[in-house]
Amino acid sequence: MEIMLIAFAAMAFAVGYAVGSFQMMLFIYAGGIILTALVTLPSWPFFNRHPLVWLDPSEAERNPKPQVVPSKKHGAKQRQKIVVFMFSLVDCHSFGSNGRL
Amino acid sequence: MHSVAYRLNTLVSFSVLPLALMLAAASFLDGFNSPTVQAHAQIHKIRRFRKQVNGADEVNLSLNISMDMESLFTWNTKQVFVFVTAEYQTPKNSLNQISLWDHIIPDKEHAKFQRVVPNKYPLIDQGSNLRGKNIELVLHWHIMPKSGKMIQDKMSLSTFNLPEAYS
Repeated sequence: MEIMLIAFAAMAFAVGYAVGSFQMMLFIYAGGIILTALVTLPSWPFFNRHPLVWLDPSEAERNPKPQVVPSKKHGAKQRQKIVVFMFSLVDCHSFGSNGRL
Repeated sequence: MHSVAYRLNTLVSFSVLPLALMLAAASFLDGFNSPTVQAHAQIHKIRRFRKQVNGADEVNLSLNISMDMESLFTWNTKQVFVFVTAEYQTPKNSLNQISLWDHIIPDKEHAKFQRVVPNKYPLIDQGSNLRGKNIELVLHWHIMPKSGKMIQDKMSLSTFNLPEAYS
C-alpha cells in the first residue's frame, strides 16, 4: 500500500510537472489513492493463501493455563515464586506441544 | 489490519504524507524560477492637485502602465497581485508608501498589457509636503502560489516631480 501510494505520488508529480498542470498532478494522485483502495481494502481471496492454522480447542483443554496465585507477601519470597511460576510456564508449554510447536 | 475500516484508516492517513511531499516539492521547485519582469509606468496626467479641508495634500492622476509579468507564472502559480506605489520622503517619515493602483493577474494569458489607468486610490499626504516633491513610482508584486509560501518583490519604475502649485 505504501509502495503503491509513493509510486503514484512520484508519477503524479512527474506528469504534472511535465505537463505544467497542478490540477493534473492532484487528479492522478487521487486516482492512485482510489486504485490502491480497490487493491488493498476488500478482502480479496489472494490475501488468504497462507491462512493460520489454529490449535483445536480440545488441545487447549488438555493443557490448561496455570492459574496465577495471588500473594500477599512481599520481597524475596515473592520474587522466588514468580521465577518458579515462569519455569512452570516454560515446562507446560514444551510438554503440551510435545516438541511439535 | 483485520477489517476494511482499519485498512481504510491506514490508507487515508498514509496518503496525506505523499501528498504533503508533492506539494512541498512543487513549492521547492518554484525557488528555481528566476523571473525577468519588464514594466514601465509614467504619469499620464495630473488631474487634480489640491489641499483638503484638513490641510492634507491630495493628488489625483492617471498612469500609463505597461508590464510583462509572464515569466512570474509557473505551474504552481495561482495568481499574481501587482500594485503601484508612490514613494517619497518627508521630514516626518523617512519612507511614505502610497498605493495608487492595484490589479490581480489571474493567469499567464493576462500577464502582458499596456493601458492608461486613473488612480484607484488618491495620493494623500500626511500633511502638506507634496508641492514640488520628487516622487518615485514603484511596482510591487506578490506571487500567490497554489502551494507554498508567497513570494514578494518590487522594482522601481520612474520618478517625477509634482507641480509647485495646486490646481
